[in-house]
Amino acid sequence: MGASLVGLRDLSAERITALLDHASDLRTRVAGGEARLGVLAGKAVALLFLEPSTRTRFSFEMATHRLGAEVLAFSAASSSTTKGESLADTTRVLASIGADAVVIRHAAVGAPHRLEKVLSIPVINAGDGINEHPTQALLDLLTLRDHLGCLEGKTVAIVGDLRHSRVARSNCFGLTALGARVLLAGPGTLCPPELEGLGAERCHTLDDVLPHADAVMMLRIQRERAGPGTLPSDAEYRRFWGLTGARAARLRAGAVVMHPAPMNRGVEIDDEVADGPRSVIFEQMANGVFVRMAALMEALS
Amino acid sequence: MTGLWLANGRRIDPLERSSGDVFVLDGVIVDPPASTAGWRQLDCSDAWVAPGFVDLHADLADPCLDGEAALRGGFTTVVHGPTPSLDSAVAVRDRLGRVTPNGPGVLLLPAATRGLAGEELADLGAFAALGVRAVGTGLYPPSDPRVLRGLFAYAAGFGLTVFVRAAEPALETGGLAREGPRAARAGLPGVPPASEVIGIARIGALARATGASVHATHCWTGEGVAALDAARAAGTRLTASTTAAHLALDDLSLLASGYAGSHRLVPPLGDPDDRAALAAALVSGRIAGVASDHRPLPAIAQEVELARAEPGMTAFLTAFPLVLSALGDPFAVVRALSTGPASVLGQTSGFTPGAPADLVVLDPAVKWRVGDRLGSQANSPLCGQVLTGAIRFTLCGGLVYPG
Repeated sequence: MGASLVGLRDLSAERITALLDHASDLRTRVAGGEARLGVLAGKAVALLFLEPSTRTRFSFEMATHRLGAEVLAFSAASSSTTKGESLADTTRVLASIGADAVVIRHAAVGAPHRLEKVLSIPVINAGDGINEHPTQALLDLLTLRDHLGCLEGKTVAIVGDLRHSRVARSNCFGLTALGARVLLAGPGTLCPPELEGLGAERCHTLDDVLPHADAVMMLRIQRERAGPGTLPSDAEYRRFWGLTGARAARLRAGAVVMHPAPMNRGVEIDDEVADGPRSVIFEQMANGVFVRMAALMEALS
Repeated sequence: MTGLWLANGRRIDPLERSSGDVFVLDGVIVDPPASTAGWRQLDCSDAWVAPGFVDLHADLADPCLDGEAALRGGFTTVVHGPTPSLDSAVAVRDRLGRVTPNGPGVLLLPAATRGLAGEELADLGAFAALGVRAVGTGLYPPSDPRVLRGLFAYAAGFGLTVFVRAAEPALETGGLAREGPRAARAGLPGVPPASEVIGIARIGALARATGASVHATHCWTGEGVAALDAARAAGTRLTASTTAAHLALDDLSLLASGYAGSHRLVPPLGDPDDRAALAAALVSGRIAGVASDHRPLPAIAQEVELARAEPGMTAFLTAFPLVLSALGDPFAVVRALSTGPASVLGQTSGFTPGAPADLVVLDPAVKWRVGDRLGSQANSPLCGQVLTGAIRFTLCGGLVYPG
């Protein structure tokens, strides 16, 4: 059986580097005109998106198509999950229908980890609650490597809603595994002390962080996850934590600006920065397809 | 009319420090007889002979099956409840009628509020008239402090003790693990220890103001233990208990399980420092006892994602080995499971001649494996593990288990 990818928490630097190298190689081949690689012809990948998603889902679909595999798309509304069937049973059914791998997004922390234990086919985590989003972190790492080279000794700042961010969590694990220094900055409600358990340093203001960063990763404010008493207002957030043009101007030469999207423009990031010369936001999305191809090939090889 | 002779055991009597073989006639402890001819001898060599365990919190979902499981776990008295449906005089009377004659002694702990919803008081006076001595608020206390104050004041008028888990429910919404660096790494929403600190402060202040008799259940954090100390220093009379799982297990086992639903507990397991604080508080008597917190569930209830799993574990059989692993000293173990909880209930337990022979004979060195699907042993974070410490015999109501 190929390798599952449920998170970056326990992945070695070697495995992460191999995935990134593989993704980079696939990108070169696609750029060289190989739009369709038939390497996974005859395989089927079940996409279980039990939480809303458009870009991650499309990205996985595109990756699956490019590799020549079939997509078994599955949506919560039309499926047996609404009829009370357990997740484990649903995916066992998919495996017996003929799926060779499962990509899952789920609101519950640990759902992919539980599936990995009960299924005989590999599982790829496309986001589980606030826990991890490993392919998003891999595409961020690939983008960072493109611009910064080797990440060892580089400083990456992650800013905003760190508490509820699976993107930040996976990135912390990946970046620290590759030897980068990670600075976390955000309002006290969204950047609590226990996040130091991620191997990162907490900073109290964004302005302290900017001059030191080789890259700044802005996170989306997740209003759907924030409880009462979390933030006063969007204007207040932008004033202290938004990446405005004036703040971006204080970044080091060569520093890049990232965002996992979708963006709240004018809140955590201003238009002029999102669309400005330091922004690599749309490269991130393009790289997503290649890292997902690499993860699928590992899973199905 | 057979006498029972508990021979060659080590008597563990935390209250009187008495020693020697124990003799039982017609379910009552007696002085050594002149002749043991015709007495049935129970071999207690290499074992501890102790007062039967008293469980401050359990759910005897099936009065018969779970009653038997309690006896197999060494429990001769069990506080059952609260459950949402045990909230009316009719339900209490009905449940009293289903107490099995050959089971452990059962004390009913009805719901203090209707449906355990924490909004309206249940008919506490009617409960008291049926012989009930305590009521409980369940997994979470009423979130409205006016309800909690009213409950304490009203219960005090009928001499009822109120069992409350000290918590601020809003701070625990969505939480699955003890807040801290490890939960943050695992991506698990945290339950802050501050919830217990606020809970203790609140029930302490309201107990003081109303004169109510209050028992804090499920203590689980070191911060909570310190809050208990502070409340008592301020003059509050408050008894407290923890559970076997919270005393002996911690979040490391939750994380090692890979998000298994069988580790879903409310409150969540603490960290190793919490365990140490709970053990120290038990040894010094600041926490009176350890409950099993037995709650059997159908397998499907926990074969789901951690966040969707129902909280609870089947816990009678594992209570003794867990407490033994945490405390070690036989007197501390027996205080935690027998005499301490009995004192919370206003009972005494020991070896005085004439007292009911609710006794347990413990094998402190026997190792056994917790079965994956052994009877009602289904939902447990300990499935598959080897534990040290087992029950050799339980004596209750004149009978010996196993037969």
